[in-house]
Amino acid sequence: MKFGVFVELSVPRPWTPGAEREVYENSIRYLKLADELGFDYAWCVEHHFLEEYSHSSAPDLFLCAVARETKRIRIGHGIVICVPQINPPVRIAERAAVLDILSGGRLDVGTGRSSTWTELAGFGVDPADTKKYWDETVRALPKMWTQEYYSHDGTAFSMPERAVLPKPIQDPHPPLWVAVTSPGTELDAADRGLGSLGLTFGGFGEQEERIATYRKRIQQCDPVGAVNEQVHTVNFMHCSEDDERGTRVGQRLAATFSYISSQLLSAREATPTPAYPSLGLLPQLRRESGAPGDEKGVPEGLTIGDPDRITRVLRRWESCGVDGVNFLMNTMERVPHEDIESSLRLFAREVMPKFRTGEPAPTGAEV
Amino acid sequence: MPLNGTLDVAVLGTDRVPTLADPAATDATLPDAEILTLSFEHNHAAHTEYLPAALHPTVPPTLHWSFLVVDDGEIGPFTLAQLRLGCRAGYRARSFLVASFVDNEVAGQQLRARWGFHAVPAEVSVRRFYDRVEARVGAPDGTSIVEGALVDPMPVAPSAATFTAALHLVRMPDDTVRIVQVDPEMQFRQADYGRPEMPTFDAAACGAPGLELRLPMAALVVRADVVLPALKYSFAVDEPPQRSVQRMGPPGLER
Repeated sequence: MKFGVFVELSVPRPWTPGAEREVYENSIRYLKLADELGFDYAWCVEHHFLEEYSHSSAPDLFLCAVARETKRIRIGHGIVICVPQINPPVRIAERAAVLDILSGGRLDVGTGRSSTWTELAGFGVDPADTKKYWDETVRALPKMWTQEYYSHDGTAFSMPERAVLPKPIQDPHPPLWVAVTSPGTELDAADRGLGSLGLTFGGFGEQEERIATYRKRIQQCDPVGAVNEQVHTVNFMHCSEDDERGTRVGQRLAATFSYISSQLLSAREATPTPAYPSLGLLPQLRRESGAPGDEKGVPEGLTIGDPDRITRVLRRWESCGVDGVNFLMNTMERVPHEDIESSLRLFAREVMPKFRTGEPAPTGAEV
Repeated sequence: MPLNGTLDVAVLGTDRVPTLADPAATDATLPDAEILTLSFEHNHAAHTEYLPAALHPTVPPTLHWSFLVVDDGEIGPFTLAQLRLGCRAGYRARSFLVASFVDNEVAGQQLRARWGFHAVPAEVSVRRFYDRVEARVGAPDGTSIVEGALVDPMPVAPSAATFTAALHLVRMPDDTVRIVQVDPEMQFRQADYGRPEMPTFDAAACGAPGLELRLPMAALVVRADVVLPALKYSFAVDEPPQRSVQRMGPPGLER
């Protein structure tokens, strides 16, 4: 099983001078530690205008800094918003290729289309059009990376024949993923041979069924590029020797994330477009946070608590068919940086080895 | 954490916050009603001043004009226009009533006494054309407080129509001001989606000077059987809703 860390770069008010820089520097520090401890992925989201929730509008620049500070961890550029008014497809291909070069071929690219009115309207995008924009973009990227010359005449964008440069150094190209939030998007991932990057937190039953469908469907896919058959999910994580403390800090982290994300204005809330059949992340979060939990009231599926509890939860995810879990360690700076570091160290020492049979132990940092 | 409203409810009179004289203890059915909603972003400069401290403004700040046309039902025929601001009550998506106008004073008295809507008598009209649905609120002097329209209606599945639950201020018998929620139940029959236009919007006449329209968002017109529910909960104007919610119901207002 693979493990990753993803950062939102959320910055709580008041936005004092230096506050954003501190969040950026802290995040780079704990992604660097994650690399030394043997974590597999460092993901950074792309968002625009989402006050407090995420000040990560140029993740490729952030990840370039992370790439230069790390040696082994894969660099997760995602979710890149595949909407031409926000990111022209050529620019996605170019920036990703540069990031692949500067990371020494460690790049993964997560694709999506944004689920907020705040972002889409900010760039003049009609939410009804985003699904076709995304589809056209993910079909174009592998060609831009692998063909000497590329041209396109489409709905989302058109361009004359040009050499899209530079080319990524991974052969044939960096693995491609798609963010899966709404039911049915896992089918879009499978049909195109893309990895499924689940953005819901917790909830075994529903996801087990969706993963099984994905596995079956991808066998008959018409791939847009190199097939990336992987299912990763996202989870909150706080690991502590003291189970009570770990679950308390973790639940506070989850509650804060749910609260701040509920302030966003979803595309579905703003317009009655069928392109967004659900309200996105928020209802899932609310449903899961109210789901029956264990004797301590911890919702099922959350990787918070002591190493034994987290191991049990991850074993359950493994049995559902999940190949990897990416952890959200902080939001709104609610967890002190030193607690994140100790949580990462404890996880790497007590939990990670149980899922790494046959793999060499990390050597970079003292765990 | 998110911004909170800064509205000083203490300065609001009974014209803005009517006394809940006869709180709705039972539902009221409004069969085959028409609801036109015109949504816009509004200016950041006014994103907190018309919301009480218990509520967070949406990001970006949004406003919604809704026009409810009722031809029949237990309150009688009326057309109610309401100006609401998009907001969050804790985790929950809500809208908050800033101003409302009604064309039938008999119905208006019931709406004020039973649900606490500050429905001001005015000329309110909704007119449906082939390619647009127009709405207007007229002041007694004949000028327009608001003129708006849904343009180029396109049918959408009724299931695509969503309405966020609505909040407004009411004055309790002990003169405290609290927030109540009226979340109508709707059985949709038809829905059309279009582009909103609003050439006239007199914010000052709505008690919200400085509120300015920005980006048009969406327009929706639906026909639905609507049930205005009995009032069930209230919460404080200056505390997080989850901490101050109280159940309402007969025979008293709170228990």
